[in-house]
Amino acid sequence: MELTLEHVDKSFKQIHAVRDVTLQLGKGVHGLLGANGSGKTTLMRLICGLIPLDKGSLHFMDINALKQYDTYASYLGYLPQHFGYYPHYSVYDFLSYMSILKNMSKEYSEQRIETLLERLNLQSHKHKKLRQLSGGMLRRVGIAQALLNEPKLLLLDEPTAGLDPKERIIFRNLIASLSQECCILLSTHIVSDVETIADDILVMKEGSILLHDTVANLLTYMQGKVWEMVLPASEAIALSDKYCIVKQHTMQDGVHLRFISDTQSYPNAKLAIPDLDDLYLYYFQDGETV
Amino acid sequence: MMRLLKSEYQKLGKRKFTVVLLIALFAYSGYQIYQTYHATAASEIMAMTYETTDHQKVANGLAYYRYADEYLHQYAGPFNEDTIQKMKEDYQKIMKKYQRKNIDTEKMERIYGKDWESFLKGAATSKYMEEDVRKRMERMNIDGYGMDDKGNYFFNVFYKEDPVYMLYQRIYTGHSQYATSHELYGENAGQISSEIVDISVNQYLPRFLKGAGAEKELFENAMHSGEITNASSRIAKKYQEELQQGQLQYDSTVGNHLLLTNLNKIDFVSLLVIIIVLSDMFAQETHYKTDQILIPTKEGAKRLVIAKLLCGMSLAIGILFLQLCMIVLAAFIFVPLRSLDLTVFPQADAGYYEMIRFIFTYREVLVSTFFLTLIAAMAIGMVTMTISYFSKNRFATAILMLVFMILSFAINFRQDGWLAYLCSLFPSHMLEVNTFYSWMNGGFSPFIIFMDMMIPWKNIVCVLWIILMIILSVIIIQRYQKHFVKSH
Repeated sequence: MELTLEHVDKSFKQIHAVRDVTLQLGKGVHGLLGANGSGKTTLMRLICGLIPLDKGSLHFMDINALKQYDTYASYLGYLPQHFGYYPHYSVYDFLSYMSILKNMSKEYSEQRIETLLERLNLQSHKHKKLRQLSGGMLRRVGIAQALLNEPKLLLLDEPTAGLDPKERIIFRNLIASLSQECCILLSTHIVSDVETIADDILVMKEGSILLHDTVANLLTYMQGKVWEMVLPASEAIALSDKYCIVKQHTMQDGVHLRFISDTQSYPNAKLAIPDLDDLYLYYFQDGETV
Repeated sequence: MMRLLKSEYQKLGKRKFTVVLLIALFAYSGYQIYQTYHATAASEIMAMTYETTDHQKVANGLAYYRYADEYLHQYAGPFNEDTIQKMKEDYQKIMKKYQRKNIDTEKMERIYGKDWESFLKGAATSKYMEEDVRKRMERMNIDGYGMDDKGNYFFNVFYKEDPVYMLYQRIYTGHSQYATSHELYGENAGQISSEIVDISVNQYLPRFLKGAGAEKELFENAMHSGEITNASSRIAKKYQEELQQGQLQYDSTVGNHLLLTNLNKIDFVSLLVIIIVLSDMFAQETHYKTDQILIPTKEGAKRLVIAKLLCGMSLAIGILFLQLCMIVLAAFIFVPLRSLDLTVFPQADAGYYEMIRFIFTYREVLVSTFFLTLIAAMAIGMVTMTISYFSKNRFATAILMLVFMILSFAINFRQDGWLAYLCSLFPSHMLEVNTFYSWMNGGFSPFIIFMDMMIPWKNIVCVLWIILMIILSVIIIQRYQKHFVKSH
């Protein structure tokens, strides 16, 4: 069960959205991190077949997605960044409609919908019209439709946008439980979404995959670059102009700072254990201009 | 595919607006159908209740049509000179027995006042100025009344014999009218009055019965080119041969004709509803951004578009077919249909005068009407869905289709030459089925002659639309296979 992208390239007029991406993703959760405009959504859409490739090839489980799209699509589950829905449909009717499009038998789809409604805590809302649902509930409906056909390749574009903390936890647990069954590519710019559940992380910038490694390995890049110290408020302002500040907290003894620097700039700065937030900020500290 | 098709129907049905629109359309159609059998006739006889020769009251429009149908049915049989002669004799007998002699003074006083006689006489002999007449009759709209070249008004004169006289006049000639003050007091008073029966028998009835001869003359006067003359001559000749060989049958056509009248009432409103309902067919996925989750599915793209096309086309056909069924059902309920192999001609004022007479059978016209109406529905559905597909915007689709409809009304049939043929291609004109059977509209002929073959123009119109619909369907399906979402 492997998704393989070879030299995938896509441009929109003057914008080179995806540059020569070559990837191999197996079973498990793969976090796709990147700032807005880095090309994550375009890459997701290319993988889904929603937009055509300019160059390159796309295979999943030895299926050429460009030539055998129907077969490829039967393994696919996709939640787009902006989840579209028919407002006059009820949750159940919408999922039923999606199950027909996914060529699922009536009996199986009924059973599957009930299971997913239960898992996503939507059981009590199943007859509500979609227009009556909150943003978080809609997102859960979106996730449910993506999971309907028990996909082998699950593409989730910003899946946690609009979810409250509790819903995020439910979602993470759900994704973690699916990681042994399929290949999940989860695009986000919220680091905490993938930090705990992703087997590996892809960092995307300006249309290219900048880094692709496990969380542990990626964090080794940051070893010796993350510092913490306490400074008086007046000096803290000067520091923020020079370095990328990850955290800043004013307390009685001064301002507690966590910042990124390649060297020990201050004698009283202490090395800190890096996390993905540090990594993300290190690569995207000036947005897409770094 | 069936589940997908059903789900597309459900998608349309879930929009309350669509459901309300369809209910409104069928209510409108139902009202139109009801009107044909009731209100139209009832309004004409409102001022008077018809009475049969055996003193039965004919209280309303529907009762009139039912009686007229039953009455004319007595002549059912071969259509020959004997039938014509029998009808003439019967009609003359009634006209003479119930000749207008006794003025209904009570009614005259009620309408014109106690001095009705001097007023009508004065109005007919230049005694009163127009203003005086208007002032006197201020409670009535007098614009509908006749006026001679000297500006003298002539008003209706009511006779006690009118209820019977006018009933049979209307049944036999398809036309009934009150006597007028002009006949009583005008310059030629007396002379006209005594000729009333002869006028009815000799002028209206023969024209009604002679049929092909009169139609042939009408055709030939209206023809512009040699080819068209040939077409009309051939048809007229065929009819005359059938008449001479005794192949034609006679029966009441009241019910048949009311059916045609109702079929002619299916108009652009139905097409407008199809446009509004289907304008969203391909646009809503883009509007709601659901295309992103629909395309990457197993049944996505190609099957989805086929389901949408089938749904749209069947819905368009269904809407019109249901209307046609309502019309046919009403025909069975209100005034029964007689043989469909009768040639088309109006009787007993059962409307629909525009249809050319004596040439085609009701069966031919009905089959063609069904065919043309359904093709028109499919055509408008296909064009709407094509625009919806390319624009992906329901409002743009609706506006473009409205322009298309307005364009079809801007170019109407009463054009000469190729424009008449061009406008007959518009679906809204395809519903005006009588046009495809009539020589009455300028240079438009129902037939074209190609290599000595007479080809009905309606068939060409249908074939052209079928070809166009196939082409559009193939283009949409082919393009949809390569369909990709826009970068949002």
